[in-house]
Amino acid sequence: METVFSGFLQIFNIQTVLWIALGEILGIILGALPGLTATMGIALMLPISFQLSKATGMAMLLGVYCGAVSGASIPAILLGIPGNPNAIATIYDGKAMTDKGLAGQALGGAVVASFIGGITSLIILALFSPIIARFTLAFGPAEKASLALVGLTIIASVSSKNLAKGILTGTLGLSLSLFGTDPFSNAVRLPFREIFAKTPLTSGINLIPALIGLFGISQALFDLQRIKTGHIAPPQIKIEKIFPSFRKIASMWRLIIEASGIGTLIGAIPGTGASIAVFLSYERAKKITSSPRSKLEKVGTGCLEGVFTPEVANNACTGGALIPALTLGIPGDAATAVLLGALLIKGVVPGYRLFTEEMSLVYAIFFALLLSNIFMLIFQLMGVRLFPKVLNVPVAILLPAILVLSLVGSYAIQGQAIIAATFDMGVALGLGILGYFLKKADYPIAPIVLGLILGGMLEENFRRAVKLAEGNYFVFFTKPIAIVFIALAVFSVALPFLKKKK
Amino acid sequence: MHIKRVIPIAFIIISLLYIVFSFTVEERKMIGDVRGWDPGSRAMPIGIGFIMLTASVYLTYKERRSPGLEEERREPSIKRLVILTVLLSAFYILCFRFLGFIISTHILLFTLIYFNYQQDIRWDMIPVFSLGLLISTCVMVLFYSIGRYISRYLFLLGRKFDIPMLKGKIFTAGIPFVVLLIIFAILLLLLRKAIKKGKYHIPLVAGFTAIGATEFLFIVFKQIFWVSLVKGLIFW
Repeated sequence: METVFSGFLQIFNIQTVLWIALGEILGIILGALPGLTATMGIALMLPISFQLSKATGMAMLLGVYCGAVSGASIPAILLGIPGNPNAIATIYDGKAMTDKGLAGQALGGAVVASFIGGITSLIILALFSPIIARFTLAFGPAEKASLALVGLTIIASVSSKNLAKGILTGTLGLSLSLFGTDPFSNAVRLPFREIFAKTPLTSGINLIPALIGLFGISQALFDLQRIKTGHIAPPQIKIEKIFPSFRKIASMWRLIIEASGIGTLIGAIPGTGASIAVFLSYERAKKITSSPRSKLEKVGTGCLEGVFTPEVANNACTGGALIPALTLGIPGDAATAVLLGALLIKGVVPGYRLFTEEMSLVYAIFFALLLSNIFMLIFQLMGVRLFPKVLNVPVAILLPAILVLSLVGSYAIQGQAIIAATFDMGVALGLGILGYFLKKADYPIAPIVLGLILGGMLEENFRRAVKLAEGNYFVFFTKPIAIVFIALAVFSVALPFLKKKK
Repeated sequence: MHIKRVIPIAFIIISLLYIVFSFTVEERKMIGDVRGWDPGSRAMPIGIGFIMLTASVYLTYKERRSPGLEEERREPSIKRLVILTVLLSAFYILCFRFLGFIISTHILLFTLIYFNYQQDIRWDMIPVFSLGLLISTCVMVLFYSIGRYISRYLFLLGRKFDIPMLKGKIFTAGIPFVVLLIIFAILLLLLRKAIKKGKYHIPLVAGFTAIGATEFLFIVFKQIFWVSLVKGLIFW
């Protein structure tokens, strides 16, 4: 009880509440701007979170996360352009409702649905994560190495239509994570040792500049192609009767339960992401509402049911994605990979130790997620007329602003050590350019991030496991949990081929 | 050649270089590993290098066989803007310590916003751009100086009369922020017609945005979070 209260106090103080509110507003704005993702928003705010306490920093980032995930529905409903890929399914009914003059209902419904999805997944997160974390007690080096392998293979398999591309970018991330020093002997592990040993590269590639470069700078460069099209101003819409009636919400109970379940479950599977969850739940909703016994409006005809279902699933992923991140150290999606990075940089190691030694921080994260969802509901309903105006921000201003914020943010991480900080800006720019070319060639970025995060864990545990097994490389096939993980890894690699055959 | 064909080839080269590097890594074992059971510091890099090589060879083969990959026709002006953004960012990083945060950030923002608005880079734009950049930089330095003077004055006042409130972040950052915001708003109001349309619409938008954003970032990172942003040429 003491830890619950301590977690409560870490969040419910003026400073933290204000930071969550700020993060939420920023998140909604970023989410509402087409092309800008929640991941990029969190990456851009990392340097600021770095300056705050663990709980406050995480709380602010969670605010950005929830805000951005939910804000993406604004352009989807008003313009038929998703703020990010997770809002694609919202377009079908959302835009149709706008065309019918029901934009207010669609926007309001999306917000309420986001809130319901977010809260449901939070409850599941709070209930299940301590149990899963306890399960990690049984993990030795062999299990941990296999777990890292599963995380990598799943994200490589799911994040792209082409498995080889995912594997390639995943190994690129791993290779980058190995630069610096050997984890056991501290010997320098860099090319051209005589030159690079005197640079900040000896401590490896810093995660935050890498994340900022891969998600912020690459996006700013990639979106330059939108300069010619400029911004598409939202149409003048009468927005009235925002809040859907309680009776209407209650009538959709089955859709809500199914979408929450699908969202949380899919979100909890590393690498899958919300875009799969929203389509799965949308398809389920189509089936349910097309049944002759259903009293609901048919999804796909421009009705509230068609907005509600994907938005519940979309936001249910937020809590779901945090389950493997907090318990196993394997992020559920790219955005939680960045959140995980923020935790690791603060010296917080996910897993059983987090749930025993820093339980108050875990509760603080739960409370922060709760408050973020409440703020999301309040701000979006209050600003239902205001937030669509961010769509008027010219791309010509937005992109340089993102670029500068990315560079200055990368610098701020080691802001007291000027040379190292300047070097970090170089890392961010270099990886930003790399990310830009990869995006242009349709290569996924998320596996690079996972490779960077899991590289250390994979190497250390792989070597430790083999050493403890007296040089036996088959040790991974002698431990039941490790065998399950390896089977999962093999399955995830085989999945694209199985799908093709089907 | 299409970028989808270039990337796997580039990765083959990168993987080969990485494998070469992996073999040159000094082989070290864990401390206390007398029997040599630890796979050593080379094992992972070599393994990863070979997986990367296999994936990139496969992709090269696959992309070569895939028909219809024609050279992407991207507008030349967009290409120029991408190149400008990359070069200017590199210049920003290289000159950051010499020029200082205020000047370098302002130059980067002004230039990018100006040319992004024009949607192209042409020689005939340079005179107006140069003049705009010069004037805008002077205004930026003036803004910085006003803010700096207020912060310092408040801090000294706080120390002289031992008023802790005046030495705190809220006052030393908040009051200059409010004063500068008022000046900024007055200037915006005075020049609103020229900003909306007219011959100098674009340099004015670029200037105002660059000044506002630079000063905002300075207050957030330097005055609130005490990040050591380099002064460079502005030594005061």
